[in-house]
Amino acid sequence: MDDLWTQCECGEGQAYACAAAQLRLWLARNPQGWQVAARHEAESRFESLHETETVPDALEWQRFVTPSSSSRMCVRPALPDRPVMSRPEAHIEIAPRHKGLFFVTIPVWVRLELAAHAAHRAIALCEFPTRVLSKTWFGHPAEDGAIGYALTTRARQSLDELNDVAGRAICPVLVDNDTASPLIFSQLLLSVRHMGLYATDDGRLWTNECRMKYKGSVYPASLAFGHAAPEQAAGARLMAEPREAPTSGLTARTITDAIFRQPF
Amino acid sequence: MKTDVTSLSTLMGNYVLPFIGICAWLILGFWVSSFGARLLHARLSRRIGPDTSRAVSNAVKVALVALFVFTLIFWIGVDVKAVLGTAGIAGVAIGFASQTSLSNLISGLFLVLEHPFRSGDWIEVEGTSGYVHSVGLLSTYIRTFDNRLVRIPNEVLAKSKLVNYTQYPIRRLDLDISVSCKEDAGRVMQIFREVVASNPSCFNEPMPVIALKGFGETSLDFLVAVWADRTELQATRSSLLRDIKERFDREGIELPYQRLASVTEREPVKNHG
Repeated sequence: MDDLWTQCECGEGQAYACAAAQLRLWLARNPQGWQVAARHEAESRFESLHETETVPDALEWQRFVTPSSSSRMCVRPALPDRPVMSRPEAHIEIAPRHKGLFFVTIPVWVRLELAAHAAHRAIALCEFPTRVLSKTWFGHPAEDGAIGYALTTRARQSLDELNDVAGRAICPVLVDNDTASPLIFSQLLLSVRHMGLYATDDGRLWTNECRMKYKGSVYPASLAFGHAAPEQAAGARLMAEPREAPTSGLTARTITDAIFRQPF
Repeated sequence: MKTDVTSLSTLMGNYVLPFIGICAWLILGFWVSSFGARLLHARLSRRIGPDTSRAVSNAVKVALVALFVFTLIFWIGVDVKAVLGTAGIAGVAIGFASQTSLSNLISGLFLVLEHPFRSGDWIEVEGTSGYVHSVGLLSTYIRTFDNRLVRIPNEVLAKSKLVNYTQYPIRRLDLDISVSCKEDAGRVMQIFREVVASNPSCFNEPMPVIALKGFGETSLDFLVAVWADRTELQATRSSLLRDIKERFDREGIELPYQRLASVTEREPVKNHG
């Protein structure tokens, strides 16, 4: 798995391929730049970038015009471009003045990037999801809400319960109920745009910790992100910066209903 | 010779210079009004939206032009009472003649205040559907999907039923699908559920609605209602219909066809024996 997120020196006129979960990628370098094609298959498979002689016929190629000296292709992980919605195994009730830690696994995207060169900086080409997720709406249809992706995996309370973490990033979510009444919720909206990605030596991917503080239904919820790898992945190296740097305004804007969905 | 110079200077002093002054004042007035309106539009556009901002800045421009004109009238010493009297009479006459325009203007102001749509929204009014190109004080321009520009008087917009398809970020897509009446309704509904669940453009939430609506002459009629991103509505409709058709073909689900039964009646053979 760790080999998937690697770099490869690519020759002109040669085709390359890689696979990440349901995603299949094909690349070809030509004198003017690069061509990339992708498709999703039902079967999950992982293969690092390698030369290939067999390229399927019915592929839709995207073309990128890049400096001719850009020959080193980097395959990097990235988090989805929209928020993701996770459902715990069952409705969760967090006691008053109590915290609960959950682990959510998020399918990563593959970002193709040309490595930095003496003459130019790294050039991002394109991104593809490794698994096709259904879209979902978080909020009332006629009010404020967000379009996100519905995760197919459940939020778990123990790391040991996580299975099938290949191609997924583990996101520790700390839910802090700072009220005098129980917090009951059935869904969580995770703003992954504000999270970075880290990799441990065993090949697992992690996001920084997400801390949500519930202060009551009428008050804005507080949302904060760790600035480094979570404590469960101490020493992990940074693989991808957050798409959007979290700002202090995020907390003030975050409406409680936009994070916690009540089960009724 | 002296008389000529005197009369020339009189002509200059009495007519030419005042005329140049009046022209300069009017040009300055129009320039200041236009510049002020543009500046105001640029400042207000982000705060109150481009349509309201354009209407406000246009109104301010008209007010500024009126101010310059009235200042000019005072300056050249015209009897203001007579002007106002004449303006009043003319106003009544113009008012009668331009009732429609005034109605459009007032409707435009109400539209600006009410905000039922904005530039770029997809609206439908009196059978005309398209994107709002611009909202003026008198009329609103709609660009239809086949790229025609339609001018709709604001009075019509204010009076008519108006549908804004882009008010909310998500929309429900209702598909009426019929299958042959010999099919198992429960099995067909299960197929719909699976097809909807496997289409990534169909939202998980709000939940899709799959229901048997009724019985046709030769069909079972179903409603498949899914929620989708409004920007992807047509693509979602197309992909969902294609998925359903492919799945029906695989599962051998028959679509309803009009059947024509031909009944031939023969005359009974008479036995003459």
